[in-house]
Amino acid sequence: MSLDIYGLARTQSSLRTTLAGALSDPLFPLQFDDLRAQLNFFEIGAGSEFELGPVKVRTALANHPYRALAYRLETSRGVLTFIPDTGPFHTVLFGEQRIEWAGQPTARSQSELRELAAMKEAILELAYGADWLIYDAQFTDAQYARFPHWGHSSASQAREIAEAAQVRQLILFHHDPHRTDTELDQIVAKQQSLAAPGLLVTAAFEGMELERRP
Amino acid sequence: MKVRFWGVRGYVPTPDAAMLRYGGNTCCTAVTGDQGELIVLDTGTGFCMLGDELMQGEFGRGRGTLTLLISHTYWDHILGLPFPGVVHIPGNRLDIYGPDSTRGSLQMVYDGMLSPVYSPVFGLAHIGATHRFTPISTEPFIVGQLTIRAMPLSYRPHSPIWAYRLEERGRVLVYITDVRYGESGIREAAIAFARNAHVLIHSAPYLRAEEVEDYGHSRIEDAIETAQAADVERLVLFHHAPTRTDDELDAIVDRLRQMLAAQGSALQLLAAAEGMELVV
Repeated sequence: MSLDIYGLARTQSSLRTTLAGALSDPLFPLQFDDLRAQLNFFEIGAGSEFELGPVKVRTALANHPYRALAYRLETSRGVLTFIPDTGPFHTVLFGEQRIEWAGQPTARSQSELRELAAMKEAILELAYGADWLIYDAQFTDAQYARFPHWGHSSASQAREIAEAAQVRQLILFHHDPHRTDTELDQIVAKQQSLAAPGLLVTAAFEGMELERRP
Repeated sequence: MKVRFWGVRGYVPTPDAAMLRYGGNTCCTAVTGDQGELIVLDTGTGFCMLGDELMQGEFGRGRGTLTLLISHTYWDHILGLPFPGVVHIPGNRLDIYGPDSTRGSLQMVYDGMLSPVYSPVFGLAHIGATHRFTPISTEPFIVGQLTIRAMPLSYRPHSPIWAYRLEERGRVLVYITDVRYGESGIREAAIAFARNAHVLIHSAPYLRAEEVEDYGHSRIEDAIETAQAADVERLVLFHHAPTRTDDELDAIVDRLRQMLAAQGSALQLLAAAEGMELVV
């Protein structure tokens, strides 16, 4: 058995070290080197493009504390974009230092404004025309207002990205641990009622399957 | 003292419709002393639910205090710790007891979990509540009216596992999890430690007949044998296998109760479920 593991190259730790730390004593009852599968690590950055068999892969940076990577998977039969764990693009949520939160999600400088604009542009480009956009929608708008520095979006923010990127189906994802099924149904119904024509709003659930285009 | 189970599953959370009656959260058990002392045994994902409830009281106002007894730091016993609001509110205090590993102290292990590659908290220094860590030893200590004793369940210095014994006014609760009776002398030590407990909570993921590679963990039958040898009154099986459905667990408990009845054993047998409460 062999696993190819792709992830964001970071300064704090290698991808292998990060995973090995979580999968070794005293957190896990074995040593990482004892795993019997062959693990191949590929540290990649934002803007990477590569092919996995017939699947074209592209990446972009998401706006999440201490960084996260978003992916676009494309074949001749469909495009899936996976953008988990991102806040909206109001303030940069990562860097080498701890984010000292000032209480308002606003950019602190012209260079930060430019960085945010570029980050949002890259995310929209990544999602452009996707059949399926899986997007972080942990929050309600009221929760986002309380925890803007957590690096998660609201369902309405997810819908706005989906509309701007002319996506066919939005799949809300990374549900808040307290969100009930009924609340999620209501959130989907509300965002669908607000959605641009042609955008289908759904919420991911365990066991959900996405059909490829006929 | 009173016991309430918040997470009873071993290894990984199992939010599966066929497992919701016993529950899918990993190990977390709350003990409340007669004077209201709050002691929590392990902080698997069940701790998040306990945290939600605690937020309704003193912890929501930054005036809560609790004692955590950590058996060991495998993920299913600690994953819930950084998430509930209670640990982020300044003023709350957590007195955390648990084993240090040769790979790092309990405090270092927890600090590592909160480092920026795993968590936005950016390390223990930035979490709101006061966390006071005390390496566990065999020296008894007092929390309110309770006397707490601890015993090592493993000789492996890089991943120590400890058992706890809580006593209050002659009533005794013992907590033994992830024990490997294959290690020399551990079974005898565990039996002595659980002696005459009114309630023994014991991990019990698999039956001997199930051929599962499980790092040498004790089997359900081992829990029963330890309880019987130690003259325990009530045995509560927990740390259920992540593949075990509610119906299967019901059937196992029924069968084991019949076996105990046929033996003429006085041991009372229960399987822990999320939300289950016991008076010790």
